[in-house]
Amino acid sequence: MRIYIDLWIKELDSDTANILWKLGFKAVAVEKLNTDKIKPNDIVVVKKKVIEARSRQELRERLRGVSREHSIISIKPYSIEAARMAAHDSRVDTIIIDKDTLKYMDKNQFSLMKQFSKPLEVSFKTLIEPNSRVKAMIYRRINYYLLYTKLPLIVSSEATKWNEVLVPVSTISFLTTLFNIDSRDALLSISNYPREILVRKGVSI
Amino acid sequence: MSIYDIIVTILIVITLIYGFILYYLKKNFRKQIIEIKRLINKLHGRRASELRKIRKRYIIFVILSGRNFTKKEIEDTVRETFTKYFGEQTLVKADPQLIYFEPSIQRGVIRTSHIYKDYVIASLGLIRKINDTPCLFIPLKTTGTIKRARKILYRLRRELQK
Repeated sequence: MRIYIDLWIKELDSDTANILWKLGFKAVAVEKLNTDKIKPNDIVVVKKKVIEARSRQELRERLRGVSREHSIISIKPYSIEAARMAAHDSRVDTIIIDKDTLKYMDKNQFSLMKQFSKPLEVSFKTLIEPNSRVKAMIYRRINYYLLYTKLPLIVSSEATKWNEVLVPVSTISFLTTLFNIDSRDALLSISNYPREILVRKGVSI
Repeated sequence: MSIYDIIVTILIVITLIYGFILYYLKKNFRKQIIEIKRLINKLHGRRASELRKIRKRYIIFVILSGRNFTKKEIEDTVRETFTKYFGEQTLVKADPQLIYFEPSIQRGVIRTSHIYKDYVIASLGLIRKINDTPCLFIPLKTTGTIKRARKILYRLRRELQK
């Protein structure tokens, strides 16, 4: 059985953990843990910190004191300077693209991310955004990212309820049809690429 | 004018004609091939444009939810979601039909075209609610025959519903 990893669960309760385990997820990065009942053998739970920064100074302050080990740090940059800093800071694991941050994801940002090997993270909620104009803008940026930088794209769920989790087979098909990529490459977005980040953080799966 | 001169002139003319034919064929090689294909198709009574045979695929899925759904509710939701994300024209081409549904175990089989199999699987993953009831569609397996689909419908990953 394949190992799937969800790198962004917003709120995890026992129902969600149960569904994730059934779907084949072996590890998840959680922003807010709502239960203590998850058995340690069931699923590997890693802490995730999403930092929203409007300036370089703010990002620096928020990154100060954050533990590098056993927690995933993702940045939502709300300005160009924050985006550029996030790309070259070694404490940052992923940079999130959504409807608010897509403005700062340009060619220069992607080349900087390529230089410092920072992957782009997109949540499934963003990909199925109701506003088609925003969706098209996100699509264009991810398409450019995949085509020219050849860096890994990480797809996460940003789930708050059990029915918002990623269904692996459907997610692979969705990425295949949307970005016209091979299903093997699409599979890596929810398996190997997130796993590499976790392994780098010292988590054994 | 000797016989030798006449032969040489004829040879030169033949070489020139041959060269011209070769040049013409090389220049219009693609057009020539298309023309030959068109003639062959005409001979066999087929249309020139590529019409592919539609092969069927059967997608076995399971629904995880707090309540049981009817066949009509599921079919409507699948078609609605498919239209929302991929459009009316793709829906016509894919034609996803819920051909079999077992309410007791909330499992079913969707028939679609082999070209649009991925589209149907993707749209199943996008369904989060049916009539405001939270649910999750999980595609289990895709087969090429209904016989095999029915056979594996009951025994595939039973732990999902526990």
